[in-house]
Amino acid sequence: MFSYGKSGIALRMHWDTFIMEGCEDDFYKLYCHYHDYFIYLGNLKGASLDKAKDCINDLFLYVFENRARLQHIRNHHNYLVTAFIRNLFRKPHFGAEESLELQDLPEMPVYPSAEAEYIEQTTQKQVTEILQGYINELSDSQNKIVYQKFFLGHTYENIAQLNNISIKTAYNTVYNSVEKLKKLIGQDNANVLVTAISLLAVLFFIIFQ
Amino acid sequence: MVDKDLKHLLSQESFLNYCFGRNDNDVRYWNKWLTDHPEDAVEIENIRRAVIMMAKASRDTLRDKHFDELQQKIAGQPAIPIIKKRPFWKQPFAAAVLLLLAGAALMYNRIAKPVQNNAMVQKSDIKPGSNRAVLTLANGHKIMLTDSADGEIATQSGVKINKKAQGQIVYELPAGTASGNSVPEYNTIEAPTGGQWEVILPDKSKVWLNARSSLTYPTFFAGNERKVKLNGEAYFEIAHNKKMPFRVMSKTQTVEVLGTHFDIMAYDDEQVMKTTLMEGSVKISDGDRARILVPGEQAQVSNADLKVISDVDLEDMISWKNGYFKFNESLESIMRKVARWYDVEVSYAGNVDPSQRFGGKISRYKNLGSALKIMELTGSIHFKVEGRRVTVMQ
Repeated sequence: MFSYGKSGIALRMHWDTFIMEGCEDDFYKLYCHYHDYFIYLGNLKGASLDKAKDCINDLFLYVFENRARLQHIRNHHNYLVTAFIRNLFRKPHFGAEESLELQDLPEMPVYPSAEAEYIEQTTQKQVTEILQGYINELSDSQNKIVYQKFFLGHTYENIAQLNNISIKTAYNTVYNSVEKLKKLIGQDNANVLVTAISLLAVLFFIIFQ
Repeated sequence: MVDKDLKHLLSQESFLNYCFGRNDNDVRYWNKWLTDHPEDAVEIENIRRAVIMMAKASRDTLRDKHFDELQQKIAGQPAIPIIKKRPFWKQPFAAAVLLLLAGAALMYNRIAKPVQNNAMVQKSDIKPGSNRAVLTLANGHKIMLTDSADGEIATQSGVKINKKAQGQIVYELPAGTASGNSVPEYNTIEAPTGGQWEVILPDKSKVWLNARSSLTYPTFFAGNERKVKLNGEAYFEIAHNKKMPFRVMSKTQTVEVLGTHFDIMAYDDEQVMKTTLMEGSVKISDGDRARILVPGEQAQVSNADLKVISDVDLEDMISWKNGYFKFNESLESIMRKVARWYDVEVSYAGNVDPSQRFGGKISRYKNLGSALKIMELTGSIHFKVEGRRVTVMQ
């Protein structure tokens, strides 16, 4: 399960190494971790995915360029979350009551990362590649909706509002994406994809029942 | 049956909660439902897996795209020193990897031979570059140069321009020309994309032009300097003449020599101009900045600065002249060389990091397909060739 959300303690080491040594790998790990959480938070505060992304990138650009000035930061998580929300509302400072609100920020809904890894490991590389290729075929806006629905776990109502579309469109986009993928899987019985996925699914079922 | 209800399933938050394990009640509910409908178990499991994998794939695609944007922002800002991890070739295991790559290349050479007999493969494969160039005379007349047709090709200002059997262009000065009244005229020789050429200048200096490069020079050298203009890459072996320094102008940079061997790479699509010295001594100047190089050193001139690197692999720098690619650099840089020599356009799939580094050695006379296959043996990249377009994939 994900350790997203409030503390981000697991990332302390990466923050320290990046601030002290400027190691790019650590910078990337921090980015990966906070990217999803901040988009989730931004969405909850009514910001579109692109706006949240701009605020994330502005924040990380600042961190990248000013790491020497950030050595005094004790709690990187609070610093990043506060700075992100300031960026989001374009406020230079936070009032005391807003700082308190930080404590109440929600955790991100669970995404079963360990299980996804398990699925990926037990699925043939070829199959994973076909799936990734399929996702790459989705348009930018389709991909955003799939991400917001499946990964971030937003409701269809939320997604419709955030993307300025009707609930029906949000919901049809998700349905069409899965339907297309399912067709791809079920197209040909001799297809390596269907064999591999179905076989694994059966095994998975026997093991986990 | 479930298939028909896919739409219904996906509209139910409870089903998605079950897929992602987000709500215990929903998980219990669906597990019970599956026990009651065992005939749909496989179908449901397929959907669940598809949904989980789509979640991950959509996130990865989006996050990579966003991080790319951030990197572009970072690159567009004034550089702040950042300590990078040791470059690939300095890692302790690099020697082993390079050795492996070289071994793989050797093995591939042996295995690949029978494949090359296959007419289909040969037909679709892009051939390597070859000895060809265009000579533009002072009057604008263009002469195509290939390996065929030797002998005298033109006479200018009394200077005979000959093409020799090996493909070289030789300028023959009639006795006393340099001290006479005639004025030199300027010729330009250009090796196109997928071409290379060797020129012997009027002072017997030799110049090897790499693909997509051109050299402008007088039909004979007069006055107190020998001045030529280079665009692209060339290797120079300059005849010694203390009284007339040899000057190579490329973009903003001037390289001044008395007599020596050196390589200049100054392509428009490379951000850094590199001058590498093999023998003798050269002076590099770029605006107000100037440095003198000793053999084995390389000057790197960019907009920001002029710096000198002392531990350059000389063999790497002139490998092109000796008929092979020897690289120890970023994928991007390698592919730019490939593009110039094979006359192809290169693009990258979204998930490929063009800055990752590779090392290895490949003959320049292989067809494109064989050269790319050898690079694929590293296991970290693959190529798709459509017409003259090469896409680099993971």
